[in-house]
Amino acid sequence: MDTNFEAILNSLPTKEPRSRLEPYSELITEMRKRGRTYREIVQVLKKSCGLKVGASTVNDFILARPKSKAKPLLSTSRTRATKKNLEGLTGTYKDTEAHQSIGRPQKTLKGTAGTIKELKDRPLKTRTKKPLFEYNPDEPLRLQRNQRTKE
Amino acid sequence: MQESNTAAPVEWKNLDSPPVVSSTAPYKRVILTMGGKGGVGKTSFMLALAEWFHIQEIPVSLLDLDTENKSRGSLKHYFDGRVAKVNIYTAAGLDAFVDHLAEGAPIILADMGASSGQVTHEWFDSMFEDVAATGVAFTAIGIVTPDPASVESILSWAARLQDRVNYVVVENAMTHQADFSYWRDSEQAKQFRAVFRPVVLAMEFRLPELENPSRQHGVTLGQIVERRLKVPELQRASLVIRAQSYRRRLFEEIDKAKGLLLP
Repeated sequence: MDTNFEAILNSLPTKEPRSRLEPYSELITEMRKRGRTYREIVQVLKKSCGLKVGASTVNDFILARPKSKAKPLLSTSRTRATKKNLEGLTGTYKDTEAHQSIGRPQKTLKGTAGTIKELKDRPLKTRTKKPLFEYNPDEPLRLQRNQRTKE
Repeated sequence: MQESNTAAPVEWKNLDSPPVVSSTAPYKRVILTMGGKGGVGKTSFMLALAEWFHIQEIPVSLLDLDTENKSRGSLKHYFDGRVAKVNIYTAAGLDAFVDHLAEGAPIILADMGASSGQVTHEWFDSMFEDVAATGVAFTAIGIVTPDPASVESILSWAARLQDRVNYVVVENAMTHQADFSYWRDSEQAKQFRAVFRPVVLAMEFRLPELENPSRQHGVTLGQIVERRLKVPELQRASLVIRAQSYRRRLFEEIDKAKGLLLP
């Protein structure tokens, strides 16, 4: 980073954490690592720390954290599966716990690339279908008595 | 005509989860009046239709969406207790169709109000595709009278609904020798008939001495025929016979459209 920018940043006073959950960040992180649900975390915070928050607040707090911090928050089984997948990169996603657990269809990497290309090439749905029948309410009904034909 | 006729039907048991497509469940149908012009006989025809279904022993859900027609003459006035009044002027007013179908009746009879066009058209634009995909078909009932405004009204509706519904048009003779020139001979109406091929039914002129007291007391032709009333002016033998023959002929007309009225 530019040294001037760095100097400016260093001169700024330290800002208080915005979230009430910031002091409990480590505890929350650890509980997530151990597979605790948001609801369980809320209960622990209430019971042990006297902090009253909703599950969605905990969820938002975790999501708002930088990715490097958020990564370990994955449940152990999911983390293992993801690691295995990344290390192996054998060309398939199948047999990974992660995919089985979320029930997605198993696709080869080649297949996924094809899907992405297909999705990109797919034309957008247009809703401008020509109407079968048009009627202008501002025009009077035009009688055609003399041209009456069999319908 | 309707794409939904080719869609697989759906089981409506649990709407917390997405509808489950089933090959055994029957189709469902929403029959709605094309509102627009008031006083053309929408409710009278829907009453007859409700009785027709009753005689066929087919359960229907009756929805009164005519918020303008609050007292006498509304569907609720005739079938109080068995009619759900629905306010369509809410964000999801017409979702009542979906909810009532989920409750089990295979058919909904919805009496739309005179000013319900815009709301209904918007609902169709946003919801039709997904509702139809679950196996629900729609039939729009248009009532025409000698008044050209009644014809203009159904043409306006048809221009918005297009082929998303099947059409039944009822020629309601409000006078002894009604002249339906604007419906039968106008260029625009001919075009409508050529494109959508509606089933056209005749609803004959009703004597005021039968029509007015039945409206006043909220009684159906069936109740007059069965002499279940304590209304002296509707107990005259001649009126009972008239009600009977009138109802018989109207039912014969409704039979012509049964393909568009049953699921």
